[in-house]
Parts: sequence; structure tokens; C-alpha cells
Amino acid sequence: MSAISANGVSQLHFIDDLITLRGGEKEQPDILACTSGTTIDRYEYFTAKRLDNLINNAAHVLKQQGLSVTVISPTTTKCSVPWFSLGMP
Amino acid sequence: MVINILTDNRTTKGEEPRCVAVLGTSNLEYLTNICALSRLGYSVLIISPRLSVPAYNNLLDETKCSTLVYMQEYSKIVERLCEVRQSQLATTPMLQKQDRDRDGIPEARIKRTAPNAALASPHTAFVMHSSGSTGVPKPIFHSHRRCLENFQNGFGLSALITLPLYHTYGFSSFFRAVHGRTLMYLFNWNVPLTSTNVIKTLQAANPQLLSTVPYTLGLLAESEEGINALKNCELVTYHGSACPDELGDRLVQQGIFLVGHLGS
Repeated sequence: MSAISANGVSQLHFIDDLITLRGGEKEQPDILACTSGTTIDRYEYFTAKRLDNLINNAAHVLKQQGLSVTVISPTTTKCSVPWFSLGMP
Repeated sequence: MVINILTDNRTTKGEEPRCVAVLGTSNLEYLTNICALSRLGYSVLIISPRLSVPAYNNLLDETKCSTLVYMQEYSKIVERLCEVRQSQLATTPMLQKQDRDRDGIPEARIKRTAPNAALASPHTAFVMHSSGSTGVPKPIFHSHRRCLENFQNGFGLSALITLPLYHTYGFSSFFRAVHGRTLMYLFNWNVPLTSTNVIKTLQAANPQLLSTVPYTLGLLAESEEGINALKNCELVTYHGSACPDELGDRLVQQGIFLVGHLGS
């Protein structure tokens, strides 16, 4: 097992915040390599910062489409999913 | 600018966040959708696309999940599932690259701030499931706290993962890579998991670690090229089932560092 510096991880409460934490670091090594189509030998590389941005964009789109936890007041919230009724196959 | 999304009033009261199921092929879009749903405050039920409709139905019941995000290629399965569940399932196609790359998406950071963050960590982040080899697949709940603790344990090596992201180890490997700042190569699930394809992938990626299943090890062990590809890895781990003694002994005798891990 590697001796990895926790570096703020112990302060996190949500697992996806780990991506945001790493995405905010100065050094941005590639952490994910993916292919597309049916290619198996040409990879596209992603840093934590790039992945964090992709996820943030996706979350915004999901939110715009209606899947979000909507803040009503600082202590009272509700979920809304009007978009799902349109997606019935 | 940061948009704070409270984890909703159920978190304030110590109740579980709502669950959304995800059905798709293991790839970048699949991973992005799961993480985005998590960021929006949902627990995510990650289901294998290889299950039967009754198995899906049972998992949705067990997790009280009434929303499914799916890739278009699984629309036939989703249709059958909707018939079984009637009005108890809301479904929508999974976001694709063109959806999240379009213009007009706000740049503001979405960040969850639980009114009482200490209450959030024990809540379910992801729900994986057992294979169903001894009955119907059973949900396995992973809290944020458990994920944050477990995913710190990595080998610190660049890795090729031939396990899909709907397999617990495949999924956790991604977060282990994020935590350890190591590179994870995701196998392309649009191509068959054959010896030739895995060898080509290993040759292209040249990872320090290969994480796979015993079946794939058996395929690779059938050729000298496969053995050599395994020898190039510093470590080979297998997951999901036991490795036959004869196969394991043969690989170790060839000088391959073989480790049995989760679920084996």
C-alpha cells in the first residue's frame, strides 16, 4: 500500500468532494485514461481538474433538466424531477 | 461563484438522501453521470446491465429507488422494467458528451453544504450489489464515510482495470486513483473482453498494475504473448471469484506477482 498524504481528505464529508479537492491542487497529474468508440490503443487523458469540470457541467445540466435538490430555505429543501415524466420510454 | 446545494431536509433530520439508479455501459459518460448525481445530493444505485428484469425490480424495491437513468442501448430492458413496475419508475436517458459540452452551462461550482455536515458522512453515497449467484442480487450500501476511508487504500500504481465500473472493485479503483493521484486506464467495454483485446490494451497502456477477473487471467495464460503482457506488470490482482489453483500456480511460477483481492 502506498503512503499517500491525506492532504485535506479527512476534512471531507462527501466522496465526490475528493475529486474537487484533487482538482484544486497545483499539480494535476492524469488520473483517468479512456478510449472511445471501439479503439483500444488510443487514450484520452483526464486530470482531476478536468474531471471535476466535466462532472460540474453534467450536474448543471441535470439540474437544469429538473433533477436537483432544490433549496427552498436555508433549512428546508425538496427534490424536484419534472423532467423524468418526459423520459418514459 | 459557488452554488451551494443543501443535502435536503432529510439530511438535516438524519434521514437518507433519495436514491437514483444508473444503468449503462462502463465508460466515461457513465462515470460522469454517477458523480454528477452524487454531487447533486443523491445516493446512486449502480446496477449491472447483465441482470434479469426481476433482479432489477428487486434491487429497486430494496433501495426504495423510483428513478432510473439509463443508456439508450438498454432501452428495451427499461421498457420491460417499466411494464413490471407500472407507474412506480420514472426514467430518463443518460447524459452524453454533447449534452454536457453544449454552450450556456453555468461555470459556477456546485458544492454541497449539509446544514450539519457531520450527519452527511454516514449517509449512503453508492449502492452496489452482489452478483446474485446465490439468489437475487442484494444491495450493498456504501456510505460517504466508508468510501472516504476505504478508497485511501491503494497500491499507488498506474492501473488497467478490466472490471466494469458497476463492479465494486472497478468503481472503487477510480476513487483510489483520484485519492492516490495515480493513473487508471479504463478498459473499453465497446469491444469484447478477449485475450487479444486485453493484450493490445496492456501493450498500449503499459500499466504497473492489472486488475482483472480469473476468467481473463485464464485467457491471457493461454498464450506466450499473454504471459509476457502479464509479466510486464509489477502486480496483477484478481477479483470477483476464486482463481483455480493450477492457473495461479502456473502464473506465479512464470514470475508474475499475483494477488487475490476483493470477492475472491
